Parts: sequence; C-alpha cells; structure tokens
Amino acid sequence: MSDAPATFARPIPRPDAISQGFWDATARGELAIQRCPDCGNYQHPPRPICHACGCAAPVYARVSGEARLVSWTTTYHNVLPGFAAALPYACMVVELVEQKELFMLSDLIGRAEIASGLRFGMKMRVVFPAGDGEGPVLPQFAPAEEQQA
Amino acid sequence: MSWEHAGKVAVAGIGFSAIERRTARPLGAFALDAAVAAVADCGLKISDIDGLATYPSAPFVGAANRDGEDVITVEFFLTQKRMGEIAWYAQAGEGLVCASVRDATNALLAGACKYVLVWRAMYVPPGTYGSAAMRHATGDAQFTAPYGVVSPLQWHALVYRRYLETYGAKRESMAALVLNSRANANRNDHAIFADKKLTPADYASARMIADPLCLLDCDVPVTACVAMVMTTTERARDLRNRPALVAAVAHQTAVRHHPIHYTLHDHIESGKPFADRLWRDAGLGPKDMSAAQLYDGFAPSTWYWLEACGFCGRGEAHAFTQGGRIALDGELPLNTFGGSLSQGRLHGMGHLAEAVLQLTGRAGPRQLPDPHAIAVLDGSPMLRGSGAIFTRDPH
Repeated sequence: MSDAPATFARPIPRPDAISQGFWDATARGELAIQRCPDCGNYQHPPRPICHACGCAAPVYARVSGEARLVSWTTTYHNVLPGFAAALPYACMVVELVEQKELFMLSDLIGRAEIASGLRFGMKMRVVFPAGDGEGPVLPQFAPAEEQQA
Repeated sequence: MSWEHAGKVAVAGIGFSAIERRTARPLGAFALDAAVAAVADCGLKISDIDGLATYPSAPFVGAANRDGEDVITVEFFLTQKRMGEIAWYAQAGEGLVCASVRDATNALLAGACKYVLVWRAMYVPPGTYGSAAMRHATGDAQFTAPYGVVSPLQWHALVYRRYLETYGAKRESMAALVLNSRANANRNDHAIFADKKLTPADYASARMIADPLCLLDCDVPVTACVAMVMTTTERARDLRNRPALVAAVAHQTAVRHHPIHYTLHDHIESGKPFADRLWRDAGLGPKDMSAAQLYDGFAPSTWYWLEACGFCGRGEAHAFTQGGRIALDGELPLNTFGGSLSQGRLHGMGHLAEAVLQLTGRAGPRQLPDPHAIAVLDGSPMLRGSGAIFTRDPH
C-alpha cells in the first residue's frame, strides 16, 4: 500500500489576518516576528493578543535573524505524504536571539551535510531559499559560520 | 490538609474488549464488549448505568469521526436501545481519559448520577499510522507543517534529544523501561504483546522513527476499548468486587512556556504543580506508592512523569529506571501491565484499569504482594494531562 506521492511537496502556508505580516516580510527577504507595542514581548506563532500583557494590537517587528540551535531530529517515519520522497529528513528548533524561548523551525532538506555537523547552541542565521514559486517564501536557518565562509 | 472527599468515590468494575491491530470488526462492537464486561464485573446490568464519561477524540488525523467506526462518543451509548435512563454525561476535551475519572468523580460527589460508565475506545485506520496529506498549512501549522513537522512524535523527539543533552543521558538507557514494560505485558492477557518477548538486542536494533526515538519507544496503536464503572464507595461496597478508592484526582493547568511543545520545561516542569496537588489532596507522597502507572505514549514521557511527580530528582529518571528498581519486585513497580508501549495505545485507560486490578487483588500473574496506593498519570506532562491516586483502603 502506498499513500505517498513520488514527488516532494511541502504544505503551502496559507496566510491569514494574524500571520500576513510574517509572510509579507519573508517576501522582502526579512524576518519579522509579532511584537507587542506596549510591553515589547515577542511571540511566535502569532496570536490575536499579546499573551504577556493582553494588548490587543501586536505588530510585526523586524528581527536580526540570528539564532541558536536548541534541538534537532531526523524523521524516518512517513508523517506527511508530501515529504515521503525526502525521508529521512532533519529538522531543527532554533531560538531567536531577541528573546528566550522565541522558537522557530527549519528543515535541512537538500542540506544533509549540515545535519551531520549540528551541535547544541551553535549559531544559526535565517536564510530565504528560492522556493518553487508556489506560496509564500519560507524562511530557513543555516549555521552562521557557514554563511560567512 | 488532604481532600475532604478522598475515598468517597470508587471504581467498582473493569471491562476489556479484545485488543487488536487493524480489524474489520467495527469499533462499536469493541465498545459494547467492554461496557458489558465492566458492568458484569460489578454484578450490575447495562441498564443500571445512568452516567457516561469519556475522552472521545480520535487519536489520529484524518478521522471520519463516525460513531462506532473510529470514535465512541457519549452519543454512541445514548443511542443504544439497551441503555437505561441516563441522568448525566460528560466528554472531556483534554487530559485524556483520566479527565473522565475527574468528571465522573465530581458528578458522583454531586449526586448527579449513581453508576458512571467511563471508557476509552481506540481505532487503527488503514494506511501508514500518523500520516495524512496536507496541501495547505493554516493556523499555527503555517509555521510547522511546511518544514515536514506535523506529528507529536517529532515534538517528542526534539525534546527528548534536549533531555539527553541536558542531563548527560544516553538513549540506550531507555531499554530498561521498554524491556520492563514488555516483561510485564508478557504476564497480561489483555496486551497486544502478551506473547511476544523482547530482548536487549531487539531494542538495540530497533529502527529509528524520529531520532533519538526508535520504534520501540513509541506505543503500539491498537483497536480496543476498555471501560470501567464508577460509583460512590458506599454503593460500591454492595457490588461484586472490592472497589478501588479515588484518593485524589486532578488535571494539568500549568501555563506552558510555548504554544508548541518545544521545551523541556513544558514536558517536565508543567507536570509538577498538578502532581503536587495530587499528593496534597491524597495526603500521600511518592514514597507511599505501591506502584506507578505513568503514561508512555512515547517512552520519554514516563521519565518526565517520574521527575515531575518526584519519584526521582530532575534529570535522574534515566538512571532511576535501571537495575530492576521498576520491576514487579522492585522499589517502584512501573507500568505493571505493560504500559501503552506493550499493552497497546489505550490513551491511559490501561493505566487506570491496572491500578484498579492491582489494588483489588485481581492482577493475576503480575499481582503485587500487598499494594495499597497507586498513582496514575495520564497524557504527557506537557499536554493537558490528568491524574489520579487510588487507594485500597480509606485513610
């Protein structure tokens, strides 16, 4: 039995009123995270109100794109038919430098050489790979040293 | 100051359906088997049931959510013609099925009904378990699914790696827990792996699912239903079997650090306030427990519960579980029925049933010598888990 398509296909993010600012920024090659104008708290994924102070009008603020590696896993089991062709694939959690526990995900599909060299706490930086033209620009992370090399 | 209602409500009977993998037999038949068995275990009739409580959520994405096919909601029993008049029901939206023990306890204390049927039914769909097509990612999934991260097993893997790093633990240390659960399941007829042995070599060679989680660190999906009858302790004394008393019941209310489960804090620390509440309400502590039935949908969750509940110190579970300490004859018999890992994925119902069977002296070849109090923690600490402490005697 096969329920997996042969070709790789990511689910396409569907921007909504709350997330639009994030995807507008990635289209410009920028990383922007929802931030509260009252208390300064960042939050991601975005929410209708600030969960630190209750402000109902959080806005998107550009961030540095710098982060640290928190953890990673290589997935061997097919959890998403569109990713079956990419198995096994690594993904990682990074913490943006702007705030503790401000996390984002990245995968390392097509970048397997990075997965073998991961270590806890290593510096990461956002990148904006060219997609296949369908859907919003998806930010990814790569080791900061590698980008300087 | 312990809970004023400690010991006033009890579990009076347990019923198991068959436990199978994929099967053509409808889930509704499994549910009726379990319900009838639970009622018969009490010496009651199904029409005596006047309260219903379950955690009905389908345990996989892509469910049809059709009663009797892949879920068993309250509605399923309400529409069975053999049922009597139902006075009260509740469906838990969180906390897995131990939350239904909480709901039933509250209803019985309030006098809303007399005999509550509590159940959890689980179904394995055709195809690859835990895999569902997704063309667009909406809501929070906009920030996860495009990276191929959609499954709890991946959240668990990410946090488990963090645990191993933070506490200098080795994934090989998990073998002790997994093998202990299998040995216990080998003494349990109500286990999918009742007859299947597991060796250290099997564990060492198990394929990876999402590293560092291997196949044997994941519970085994099954099609089954387990039910139990709850009533007041006073009424239970007139029924067929000795009751197991609810000494405390609580659900997790801690504030998570993050809406998606990335943090070790959310996996361990968020269980602590709720575990502390259980100890306080029961007037008992970890050292008073004859055994612990700690949820193991993914094996690391049991390590996290051991730490959240104070059975051992923070970062110590990987060492605590070695050397026979968690065996049937050890200091803290753990998941004495095989856990979800080896009994099957019953979302905590197996853990609850085992606490009752042990305390009432009905655990057969795995019976502990003289158990008097058992803790059950359901769900992972990070989820809206729930838990209960059962005792044999009033205290």
